[in-house]
Amino acid sequence: MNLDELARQSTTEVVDRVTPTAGVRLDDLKRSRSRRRMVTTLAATAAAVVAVAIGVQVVSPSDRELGPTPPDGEVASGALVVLDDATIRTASGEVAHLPEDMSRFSMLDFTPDGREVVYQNRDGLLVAMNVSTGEQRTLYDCGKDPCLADVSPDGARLAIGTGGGLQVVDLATGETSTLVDEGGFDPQWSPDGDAIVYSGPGLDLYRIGARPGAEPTRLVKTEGNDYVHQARWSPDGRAIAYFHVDVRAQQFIGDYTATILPADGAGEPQSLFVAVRNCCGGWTPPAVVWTPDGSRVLFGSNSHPTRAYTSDGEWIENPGSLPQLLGSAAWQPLPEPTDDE
Amino acid sequence: MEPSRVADVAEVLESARAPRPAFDEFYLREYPRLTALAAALAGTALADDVAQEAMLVAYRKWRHVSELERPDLWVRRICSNLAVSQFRRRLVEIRAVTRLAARRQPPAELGDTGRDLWTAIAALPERQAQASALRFVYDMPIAEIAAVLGCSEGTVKVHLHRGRAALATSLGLDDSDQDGATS
Repeated sequence: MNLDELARQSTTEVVDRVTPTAGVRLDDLKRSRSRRRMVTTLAATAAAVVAVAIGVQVVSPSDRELGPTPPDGEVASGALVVLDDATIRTASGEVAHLPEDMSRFSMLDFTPDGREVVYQNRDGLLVAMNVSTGEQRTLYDCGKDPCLADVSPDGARLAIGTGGGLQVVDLATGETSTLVDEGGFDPQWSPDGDAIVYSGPGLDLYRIGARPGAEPTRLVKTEGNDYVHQARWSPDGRAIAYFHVDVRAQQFIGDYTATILPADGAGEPQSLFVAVRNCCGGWTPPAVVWTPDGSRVLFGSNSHPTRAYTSDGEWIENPGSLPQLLGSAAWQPLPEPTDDE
Repeated sequence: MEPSRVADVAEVLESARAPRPAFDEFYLREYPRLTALAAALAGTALADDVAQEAMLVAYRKWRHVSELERPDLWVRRICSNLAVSQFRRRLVEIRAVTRLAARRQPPAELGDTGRDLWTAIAALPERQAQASALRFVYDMPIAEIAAVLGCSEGTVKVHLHRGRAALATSLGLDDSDQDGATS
């Protein structure tokens, strides 16, 4: 077979598979367009009302280019960093461009010293890139599987979730331990490094000890097609914040409800507010991030300014200027100065 | 006026103005092959999202796009630029991540036969990839590729020639230009 024959055959194959569903996708497009327009209108109206009524500063995209702003100066170190469609805004306010080889499956994660951002490249390698120098080091080879990873609090281990399983890698030796064989996406270490929460089978929320042979515990059981999105552990280890996605008419399109759960699973999840409705067939999903001191958790929203809550679930009505949290966000620890600095 | 009422009024006004039937025909005719173009440039996992995003742009601007002499070339340009642009792909990619994370079953691959071909095209330098994909997917003449990419026909020929050579090498295929692709 020559190149032209292969191209013709491959194109025909794609077209044949897509053609029967084109009408469905057209309906999706119209619904998506309708949702985007409605959210834009609502957001603009709500922002104007809020800004006039209570004097909250609404951060515009041009303002956000100036760099991240910690809320009210209460955060001892670090700064909020948002991975948007093209850039990483660093702690110093500089804008770092995404690595050219960043895969479509990366989410924002920093090493504990704040110097490196961890991502998956298109060759399937998990890479730590120094955000100042661009220097890279390879952490793990995920192959062709999309994998989301989280560096342990001591920086020595990497939790990796591929959807098919959950692994922990010792970064010094390369030794890999499989914690679970089925399910396992978006893992997050507990602050003490003893446990991991992750999206397990059915995209329910699970917790497991970070050692081989540990048994997982389901913290949140969702109904039907509902699922848990972006579970994030509080710095004091007592609570887990996440979005509960209430899927209604369309598979995986639903309402994102900001939720806080006691990390020991002893209490009931506390629903805080509906951050986004009918998310996310046509736009970027919201992000959730804790401040490093654990005093508050921030939830992104398409229809509200970013909201801040205490770890007890109390709404902080005037949190100061906050960037819009969409996609993926993390708090970058401020690097300790080196001897050279 | 309450926010929800504002949105409702905007919806009604927009619906009344937009020439939707013509767009529907355009969409159903163009979308399948546009997905193949996106698969060639962005990979099969993202193809559907990229093609849909390009169509969404066309839908938003349909009053303008529908008056163009060749709306099909316009949307192909949007799609090919979207597929190779790191900047604009990020939004699409993050949405795809969300859906991937949300799926209880692995996402369906669009094509088995051409997976290696699409991967090889996506690995080409940007303009070579765009020119090659347009040629292979649409069997597009040099002049139309030049129009889509906004460059000269001579430049397109160079991109196609170099792209073919690289693809043939990486795929271990015959590089004979049976269709006169670069002439």
